[in-house]
Amino acid sequence: MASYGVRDVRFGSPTRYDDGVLWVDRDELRRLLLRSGDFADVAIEVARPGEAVRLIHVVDAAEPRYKPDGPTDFPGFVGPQRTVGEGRTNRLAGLAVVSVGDAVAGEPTYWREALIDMSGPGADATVFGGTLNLVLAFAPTAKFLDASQPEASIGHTQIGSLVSQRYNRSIRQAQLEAAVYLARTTAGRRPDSTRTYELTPVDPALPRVVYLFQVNGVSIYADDTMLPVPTVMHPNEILDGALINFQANIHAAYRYITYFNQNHAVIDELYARHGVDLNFVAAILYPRGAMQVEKKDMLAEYVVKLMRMLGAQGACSSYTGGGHSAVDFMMICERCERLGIKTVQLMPESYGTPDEPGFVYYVPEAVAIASMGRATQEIGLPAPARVIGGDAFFDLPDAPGADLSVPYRYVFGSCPSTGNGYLVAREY
Amino acid sequence: MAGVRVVHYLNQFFAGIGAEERADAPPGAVTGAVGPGRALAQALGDQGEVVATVYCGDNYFNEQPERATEEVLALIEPYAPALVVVGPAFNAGRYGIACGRIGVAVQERLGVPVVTGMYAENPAVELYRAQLYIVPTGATAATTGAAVQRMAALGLPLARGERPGRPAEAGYLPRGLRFTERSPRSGAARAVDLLVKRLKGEAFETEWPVPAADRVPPPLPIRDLARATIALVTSAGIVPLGNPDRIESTFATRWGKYSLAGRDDLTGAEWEAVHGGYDHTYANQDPDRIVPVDVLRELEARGVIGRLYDSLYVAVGSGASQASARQWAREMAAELTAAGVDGVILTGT
Repeated sequence: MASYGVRDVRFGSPTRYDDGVLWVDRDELRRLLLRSGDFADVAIEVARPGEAVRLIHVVDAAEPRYKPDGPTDFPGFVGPQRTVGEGRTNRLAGLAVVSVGDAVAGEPTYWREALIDMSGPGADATVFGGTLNLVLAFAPTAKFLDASQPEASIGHTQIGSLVSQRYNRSIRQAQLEAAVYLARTTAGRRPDSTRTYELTPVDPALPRVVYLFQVNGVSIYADDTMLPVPTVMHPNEILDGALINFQANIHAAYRYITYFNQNHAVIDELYARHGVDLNFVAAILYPRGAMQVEKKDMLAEYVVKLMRMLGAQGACSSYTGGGHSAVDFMMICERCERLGIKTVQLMPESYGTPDEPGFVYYVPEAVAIASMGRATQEIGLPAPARVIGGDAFFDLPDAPGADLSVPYRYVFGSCPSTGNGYLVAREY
Repeated sequence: MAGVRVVHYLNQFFAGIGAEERADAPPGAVTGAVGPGRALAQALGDQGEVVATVYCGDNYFNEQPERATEEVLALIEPYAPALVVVGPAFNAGRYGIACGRIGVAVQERLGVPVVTGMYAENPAVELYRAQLYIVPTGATAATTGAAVQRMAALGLPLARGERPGRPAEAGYLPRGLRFTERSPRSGAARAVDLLVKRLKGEAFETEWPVPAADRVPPPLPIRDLARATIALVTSAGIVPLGNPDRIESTFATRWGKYSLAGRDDLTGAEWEAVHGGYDHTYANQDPDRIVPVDVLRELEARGVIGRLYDSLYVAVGSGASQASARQWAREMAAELTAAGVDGVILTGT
C-alpha cells in the first residue's frame, strides 16, 4: 500500500496531484459521473475539517485508490472481476469521496439519515470530521422518482424497491469511479510511505487469530445477495476494494462504510501484531442473522467449524448492530469460548437509556467487549454556516441547518464495529 | 462566610438527640453543623457552609416514609441550599434507607444536588446507587473523617453544576449509568489490546459488562383453557392500514390497541406491518402470519379456548429500550388484567 498524503483539495485543471495538493478538474469529473445517465446532476464540493459545514443524507464514502499494475480496481464496479489484495495499491491518504443525496421511489428512509459536521462536537465524533471530503451530491433523473412504476414498489422493506436498488448501485459506481479517477493522479509518483500487508509465516507458538466479520449491507465482489453460508476471505481483499457498501438504510453510526472496509482498523491492528503477539490467519465473513432459530444454530455451528479448520485460538469479532444480529453474534461467542477460543467482541451499543445495560441479547461467555460507544445517547450539534446534501431531514423535525440535539446513531461513522472510531461508552 | 450553602441530614443518633431509644424522634432542624457535620464543615473549608442540620429518628422515618419525607423536605427547603449532604449512614440499614429516600426526594422535588455516604454492603446501596452519588465509606463511624472529606470533595463541584468524573477517580460507587465519550485510542486498538491480554493469560477488563440475568417467576398455568379468554399481543407492529396512531417503525414512543370484534382473520387489504427491523413482504401478504387471528378463531370454534379477546395490542419492538418495553407492558397488562384475560399469546419478529 503506497500512501500519498493530501493536505488540500482545490478545483483547477488539469486534475493532478502536486506537492500534497490534489487539483480536481470539476467539470471533467462531473461529466465522467454523468455518463451513466442515471443522474440529473452531480454537484461536486469540498468540505474541509474545521469548516462550519454540515453534510446530510450521507450515503457512503470511499478512499481514492488505484492499482497501477492491475489486475483491477473495485472489481465489478470500475474494473473487471478479478481477485484483489495483492500487488501494489496507491491511496490518497487523508481524503474521502463522500456521496450524499435524497432518496428515490421505493427507498426506505427510516434508518437512512446520516450527518457529518466538519467542525464542533460533531466533528470529534467521527473520523470524517477530520478527513478532506470531496462531496458528490447526487440528484436522480426523473425515472428514479416515479413512484407509480411497478419496480418502485417496495420488495424488501429494509433494502427497498428495485428502482432504489439500481439507483444505489449507480451511486456506488459513480463514487468508486471518482475514487479511481482521483487516485490515478499518483501514477508514476513517489509515495510518502509504503506498507506491506502479508500474512507471513511466523513463530508457530504464537496464537492463531481469526477476524470474525458479521456483515450486512455490503457487496462482496459486487454481489449484494446475502451470503448463504459463512466464507473465509483473505484480509487483504477487504482492504483492497472487494467489500463495497450497497445499503444506505442502516444506522449511520454503524453502517458498514466502504472507506472503513478499505481502512479496516481491526485488520490493521492485527497486522501490526502479526508475528509479534499473534499469528493472524484469516478473516471469516458471515451474514448478519438468520430469521429462524434453527438457521441461527446452523450459522453459529458453521462459523465455529471454519474456526476449528483454521486452528483458531483467538478471535476479534465485529457486530453489525441491531436485534437479530445480536443473537447470532452472541451465539458464536458462546460456542467459541466453550471451545477455548478467546473472543473479543467489538460492539456499538445500539440501544438503551443510560441506566440500562443495553444488550438485546447476551451470554455469560461474553467477557471481553470493546465498546464502540452508545449510539442512543444525544450529542449537541451547533448550527453550521452551510448544509450540503438536502433541504430537509428524513425523520428529524428540525431544519438541517439548525442547532440539533440528536442521538449519535445519526452521525455517519461514529460507532463502527470495524473499530475505526474513537467513541466508547463508560460507566459512571 | 461565602460559598455553597449546605444542609446536612442526620439521624437522631448522629444529631445528638439520643440513641436507639430516641429512634422515634420526629423531624427537626437546628442552625449550623452538629456532630459529624462539624467535620463536614471543616472539609468544606471556605468553599461551603453548613447552614443547617435537619434530623429525623430512623424508626419514625421507616414507619411512615412518605410523611417523614414531606416533613424533612419542608424543613430543608427554607434554607435554600445549593447542596444537601445526607449521612454518612455507614452500614446502618434503616438510616441508609432514610438517606436514600430523602436524597432522591431532594433531587427530584427541590432540584438540589445530593451527596451521601454508605458502606458498600449497606442494603440501601443497591436500591439507590443509580439515583444518588454514594461515597463508599467504612462500616462504622470510625471512618467519619475520611468519609466527609470525600463527600465534600464530590459535593462542591456538583453544587456548581459540574458533572463528576468516573466513579473510581471522583470517589463514588458506580451508578450503572453509561455515557458515550471520546477515547484517545481507536476501538480497534482497544479491542486488539484486550485480545492480546487474553491470549497471554493476563488480567483484562471488559468495556461493557454483561448483566446478571434477572429471573422472572412464571405465573401459574391456566386451569381451564376451554373457558379461558386469550388475548393477542404483538411487538411486530401489525397495525390497521394507514397506521392511524402513527406508531413509529423504530424507536417508537407509543403503542396501539385495535378491535378484533367480528374478525375471523387479518388481511393485507386492511392491515399492514410497520416494524422497521424485518422484511414485511410475507406479513403484508397475510398478517395472520404474525398475529394468528385465524387460528385462534378456529380454536375458539372448536372449544379449545374459551374466546379470543376483542382487542389486539400492538407495539413496535425495533429499538425499544427496556424501560419503554417495561412501561408499555405494564400499561397493557393493567388493561388485560382488568378485563379478566387469562392468558396472552405474544408474537415477535
